[in-house]
Amino acid sequence: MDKIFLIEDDQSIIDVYKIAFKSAKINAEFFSWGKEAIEKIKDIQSNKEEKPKIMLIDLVLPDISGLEILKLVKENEKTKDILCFVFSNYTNSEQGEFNGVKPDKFILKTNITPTELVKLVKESINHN
Amino acid sequence: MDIIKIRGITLFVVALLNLFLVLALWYKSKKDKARIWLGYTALFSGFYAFFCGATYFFWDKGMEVSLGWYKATWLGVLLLPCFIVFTYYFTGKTKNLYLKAIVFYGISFVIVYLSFTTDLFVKSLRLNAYNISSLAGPLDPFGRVFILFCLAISITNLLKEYFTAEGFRKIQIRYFILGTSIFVVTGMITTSIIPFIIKESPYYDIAAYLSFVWIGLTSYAILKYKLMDIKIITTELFSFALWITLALKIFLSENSQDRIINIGVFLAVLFFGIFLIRSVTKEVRQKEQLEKLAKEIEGAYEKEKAAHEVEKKAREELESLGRAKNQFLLAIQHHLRTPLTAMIGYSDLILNGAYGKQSKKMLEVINKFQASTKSLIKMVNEFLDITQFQLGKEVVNLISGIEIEPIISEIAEELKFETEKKGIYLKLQKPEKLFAIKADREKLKAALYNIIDNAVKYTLKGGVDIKIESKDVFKIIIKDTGIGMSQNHQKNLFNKTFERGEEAKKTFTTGRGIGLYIASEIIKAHKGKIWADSEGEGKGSTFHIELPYEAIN
Repeated sequence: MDKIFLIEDDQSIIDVYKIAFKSAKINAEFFSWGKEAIEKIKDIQSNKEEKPKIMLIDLVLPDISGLEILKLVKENEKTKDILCFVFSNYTNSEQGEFNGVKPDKFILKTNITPTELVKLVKESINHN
Repeated sequence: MDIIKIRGITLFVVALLNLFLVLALWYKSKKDKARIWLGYTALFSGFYAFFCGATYFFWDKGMEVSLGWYKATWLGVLLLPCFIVFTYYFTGKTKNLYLKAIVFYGISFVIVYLSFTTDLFVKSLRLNAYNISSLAGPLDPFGRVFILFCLAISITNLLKEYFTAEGFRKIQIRYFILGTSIFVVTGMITTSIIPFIIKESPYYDIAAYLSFVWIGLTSYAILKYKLMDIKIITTELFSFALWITLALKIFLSENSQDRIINIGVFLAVLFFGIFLIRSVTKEVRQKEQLEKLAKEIEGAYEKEKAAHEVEKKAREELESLGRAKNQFLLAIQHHLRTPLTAMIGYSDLILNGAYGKQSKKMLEVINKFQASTKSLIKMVNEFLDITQFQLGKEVVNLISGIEIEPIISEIAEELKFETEKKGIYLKLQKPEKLFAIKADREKLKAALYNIIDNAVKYTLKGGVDIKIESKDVFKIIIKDTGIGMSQNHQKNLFNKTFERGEEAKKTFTTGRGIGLYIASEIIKAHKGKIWADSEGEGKGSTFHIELPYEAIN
């Protein structure tokens, strides 16, 4: 089944989206720590794990910056086709500062409701 | 003329020179006590030289006459207490001065009196081939000791001051001590040590020359402000030496013809010397001025450099402050929005049945809650946008292929609740073609939302018409039948200040003027234009927005 990753440290937001994705029957995996996500991605890159269709990456994580994850995914042959949506509360004027690695989409958390995000995710999965 | 007379004459010249010193020291001396007392010193030194000279010059009048003159030379001893007083005034240590002076003067007067009236100091004179030597009386050694004692006191005073003095004053005192020491040493040798050995004193006139040199040096140190102009000093000394020599030649002339020639030469050299001294002085002063000027320029340059540094530092501080502010804002953005995300999230889940079916009342309440939350989110967005504008940052990220019609449809949908409640209409006249322009979707939507929301807010009956055109430019026209605007209001509409116009203030207590300011900034960032007009208060308003378009589908 198609799955997605949500890398986000704020617990209340994870709770909201857990319910939203569950209601929509989307298989989602949640990571609160950047390092956890990195480990997982490395496993995917060495074929130990299945890769997700979409990754929703928060920029501000407790241990590292979300950009590192974005870079890791996009600069690897195996994982560069995973859709990466930067999911953040910084305005998209910061988009220019992504060190040359562009996300597939930039989403401002407060400007999107769970319903809208679920819709977007479904569309993106089907589109691919 | 014999040697004896010549020696007398030279001593007269020295006496005269001492007189010049006195005049130079007393001229415009005003209340400078140091100069006045050095003048007295020079005066008594002059007396000494004069009486020495007279001893030689009037030798041909007989031994008694010469002896009388020679005894008078002891008057010169008074120059010692005068010099001591000078050192006290120069070093500023004038406490108990009168008391100390009385002691020295007392002893001096006793010596002078005794030498005039008895032969306790001077016994007799003896003529040699080229010289007159004196034979001392029994009290002569005491006189010498007294003189030495006075000089020791003077030198001690000067030395004490020398160690605490600085700069120019230190140099001055150095000269005094030098001169005094030379006098002491050579004076000692010629008038005390040699006579002690050979039992007669043939070289007492040397003391006259020496005293002139000594007081001359001291006077020079006092009178001249800048001592260290070696050029000036040597020029002057050379000239003086030349003048003295030539002056002497006048006196030593054999006949009138010679005398006239010598006078002529002396005068010529005198004028030339004065001219030379002045020109050298001028040159040295000019050099000093140039140096001073160069220093001033350097000083000014240093100041300018320092000012530059200050400015640079201020700029750097400002920049770092700006960066700090920026960092702070970024952090705030994140912290303000995080809880808002959860609030929007949960309210959305409830409304969409994730927690099961809710009562109509509950849904209504949650809707209101969500509306407030959205309003707060909007405010946070706008606040951050304003600060970004103010920091001069690029607030929009333009992407091609953005369609306008869906954006406005979304806005209309979001405002449906409010318009239905107010009973006014919101019509969108859809264009025939579909338009795509280069825009920042989120920001453009926020701007358009502000304008349309504004129209809705200030319309009490009737409604809002939105039209999209594309004749030669891409245009959005938002027309309402609301309270309208006065001329004055139209002018200040898009200002930063929270202008709401008099009518608006009366109608509503809520509302933020910054919405229009933000909208106009966003439109401008899209390289577009925005303006508004109204036929007047109560006659509705029309907002015009122009945007450059890149493609028509």
